[in-house]
Amino acid sequence: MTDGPAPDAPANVLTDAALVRRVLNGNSTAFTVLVDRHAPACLRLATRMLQNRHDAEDVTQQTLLRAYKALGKYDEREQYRAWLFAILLNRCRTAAQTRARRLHVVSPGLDKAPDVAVLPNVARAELRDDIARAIAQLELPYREAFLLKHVEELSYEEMAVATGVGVSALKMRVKRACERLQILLGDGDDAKQ
Amino acid sequence: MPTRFFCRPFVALAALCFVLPFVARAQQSGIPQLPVRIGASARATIEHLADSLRSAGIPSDPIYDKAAEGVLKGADDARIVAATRSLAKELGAASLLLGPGASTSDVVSAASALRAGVPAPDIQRLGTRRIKSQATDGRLALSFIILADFASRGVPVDAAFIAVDGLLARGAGGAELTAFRSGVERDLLAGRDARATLTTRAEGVLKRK
Amino acid sequence: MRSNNEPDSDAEFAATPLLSDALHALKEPVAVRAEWRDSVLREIADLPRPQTERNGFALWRPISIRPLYAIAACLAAMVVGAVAATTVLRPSVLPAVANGNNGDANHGVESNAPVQLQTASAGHKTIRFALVAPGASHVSIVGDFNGWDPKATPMSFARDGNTWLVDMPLSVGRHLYAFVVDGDIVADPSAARVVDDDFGVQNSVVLVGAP
Repeated sequence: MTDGPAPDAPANVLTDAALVRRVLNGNSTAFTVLVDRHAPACLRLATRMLQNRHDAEDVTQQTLLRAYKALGKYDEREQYRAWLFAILLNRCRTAAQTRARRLHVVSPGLDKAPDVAVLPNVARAELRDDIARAIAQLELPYREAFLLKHVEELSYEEMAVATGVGVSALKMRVKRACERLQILLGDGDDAKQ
Repeated sequence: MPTRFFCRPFVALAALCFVLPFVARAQQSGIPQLPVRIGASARATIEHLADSLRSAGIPSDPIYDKAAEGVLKGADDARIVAATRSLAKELGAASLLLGPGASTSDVVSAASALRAGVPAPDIQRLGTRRIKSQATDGRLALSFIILADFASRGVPVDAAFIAVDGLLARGAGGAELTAFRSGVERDLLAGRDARATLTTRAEGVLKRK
Repeated sequence: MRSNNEPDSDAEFAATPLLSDALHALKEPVAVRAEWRDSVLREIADLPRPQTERNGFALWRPISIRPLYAIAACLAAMVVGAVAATTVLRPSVLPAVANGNNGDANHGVESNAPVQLQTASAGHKTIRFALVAPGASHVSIVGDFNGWDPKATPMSFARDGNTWLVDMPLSVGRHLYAFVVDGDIVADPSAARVVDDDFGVQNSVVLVGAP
């Protein structure tokens, strides 16, 4: 790759690893850049995982605070995003468990899709509901794998860092999640079977 | 790697001699340049994307803008490639939906509408309206811009489309479309219901026309 | 069951228009609320500075030092502390509004939102951009209209001593932009629209009206 950044390089142009170094060297504003850089993706992933905006904000906030405290443990050889997602996914899992009752309410047959304000720009209300229902029907590990691969576009190696699951198992999960979603979304008749 | 590179001046000189004619040709032909920070592999991919768009008559400048934006924001090559690829797909889809003869601004604004979540059939329908009316006054691009704006603000896209399509069908021009958007924006900031304000503002604009 | 090593099984997923639409919908950004961001940053600011485990060990390891050196070290620490305090307490070079301290970006700073001044030429309007950035030494505007080049369009300091201004002829349409304040990219706090972009750094949007 290239040589390291100049010491006076502006924070916005630095890599995540360089920003982490700056934070550890006492420049706390460098973490603001990291927050701005990664909070949108964290919020999106959490929102899609939990299907609730408020819960997503809570777990993302917890994640960012936790990441800041644990920054000294970050290994530069890992992608910062994957490392952050690892923290986030743990928080999401915890939140999903403690709020299982609410998630269980999210099922086909409801008049209203689960807090679909999470998908404000979906073209048609019908499709929006279908997606929310279909995603909600995926078991958490499959939902995670699918969202990381197809929405956040992580590599399988990054996904392995984020989930702690092996690459081959992740490929299987993504494949099964896709097959399931294709049935749920792609063909109404199949979905009813 | 750069250290090793500079250790071999003859290789660098040879590479420069090889690259310079292409750079000069590109500058002469008015093709934008990719920022130097982008690596060779990513550069080749992005150039290929831009070439594909150009050869299909689709504007490729936004691809270079996107790459420059990525460099400014410190994104790595993989992320820049992903962003330009995604944009190229949207531009290609927009061009396909609008059909031949669409202007650059029509295609670019339709692509931004697609990205904002305006459904492809709606884009296509507005494109058909352009072909029928042979309008070239920028109203179509403005319509896409308005739809993209509304979509990104959480306004129901189906209702926004009906309102904008209705305005175009009844001959609204650029001034009316702009007044409509401004009115809706004011109402939204005042906390009014989006669907209701879309209807009210569209009717109001047409009455004043 | 098919092998899970098929190279393009992932690409197949978005092959149909409906699924492509679904994926597109799932990829829609979720807006970061300014209030939420502020509260996160405030909480982080209250936390002790993170340290590498090795640094922590080094800080707490007992050391022996001669008394004269200890006095010299204390004096040096006082000087450093005074300099640091002066530096930290001076007015921020970042615009206050850009840090999101004023809550909703749509309120309170409307006077700094991009203003359409006049028709520059056919299909172009002159737009005035303004940013309150007291203490900044260099501010420029970047966007899809200048190739995101931070050197292309420097802004000039207004007489009020706080505001940076530039008038830009822009084509009618939707433009993405941001400010560069002493090398840091800052979204326009007074812009009515801020969208997530592909690189995790927010852009501001200006819509330039039709004639």
